[in-house]
Amino acid sequence: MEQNNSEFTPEQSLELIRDTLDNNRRDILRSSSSFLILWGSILFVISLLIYFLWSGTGRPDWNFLWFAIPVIGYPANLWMSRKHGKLPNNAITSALGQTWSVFGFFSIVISVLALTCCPMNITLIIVVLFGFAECISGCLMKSWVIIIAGALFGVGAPVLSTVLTGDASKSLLFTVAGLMLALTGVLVKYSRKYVRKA
Amino acid sequence: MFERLDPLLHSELRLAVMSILVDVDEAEFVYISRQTGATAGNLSIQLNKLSDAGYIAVEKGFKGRKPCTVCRITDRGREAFENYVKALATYIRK
Repeated sequence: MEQNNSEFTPEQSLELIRDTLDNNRRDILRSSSSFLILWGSILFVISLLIYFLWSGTGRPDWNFLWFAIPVIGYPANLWMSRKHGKLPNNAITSALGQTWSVFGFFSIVISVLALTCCPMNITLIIVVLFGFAECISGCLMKSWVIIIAGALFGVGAPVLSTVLTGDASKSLLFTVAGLMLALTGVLVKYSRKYVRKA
Repeated sequence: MFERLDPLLHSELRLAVMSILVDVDEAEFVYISRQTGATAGNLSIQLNKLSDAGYIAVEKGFKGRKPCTVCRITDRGREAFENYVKALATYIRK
């Protein structure tokens, strides 16, 4: 970046501010998309694994594998953060991080409670929470595709969870959720809307 | 009536730095350098000028064994940036 301050007009100043802000926001959001892909992929693989193991053996004990998601996810998240170097946080990425952290917190606590002392329909609760978090993410990123996908999932998956026969098949709802999360990340990473302007 | 433009901010690189910092909590030197395309030497000089004016706070430390400089905008810097944009508007309205 060169400095020709004498020829630096107010119009150019405004353009520079606008372009820098836009490019900065795009770059931060695109870099954050790698984390959505990571968590989505882990959820996709683990839920598919649980489905096959549970339906294959008929043993619900395989449900404890859900706890492998944070066990694998958090160290992988940390490793990726170090690899990418520290990215600045802006209002959007902070809100996105907080939304998914709250989702993770509720999912883990409700699962532990359901498995230990208060039996409840975990699938129903978590898919609603997931759809909600996905919708909020879409609103923050101003993406109608993500908002609609989150809303469809948040409403459709609970209905499906009551229709699907066999407990193992319900874990497939989370396979769809994982796929959606990863695709959200891919969409942000490669969408022209989020690609830096020249 | 045109308002006076802050000479410290009316510079391409310093304005770009402030435009980045105004939107984030804090940013590392390497990130700012990559976003602005400025050389390390030039960027250091401009960051020092902004820091001396109290527009940004610069923290020098280490990340592991590597030196790491983190910058963040101060309240004074945010106010100066807002005033600069307001002053720019008086030129554009013409």
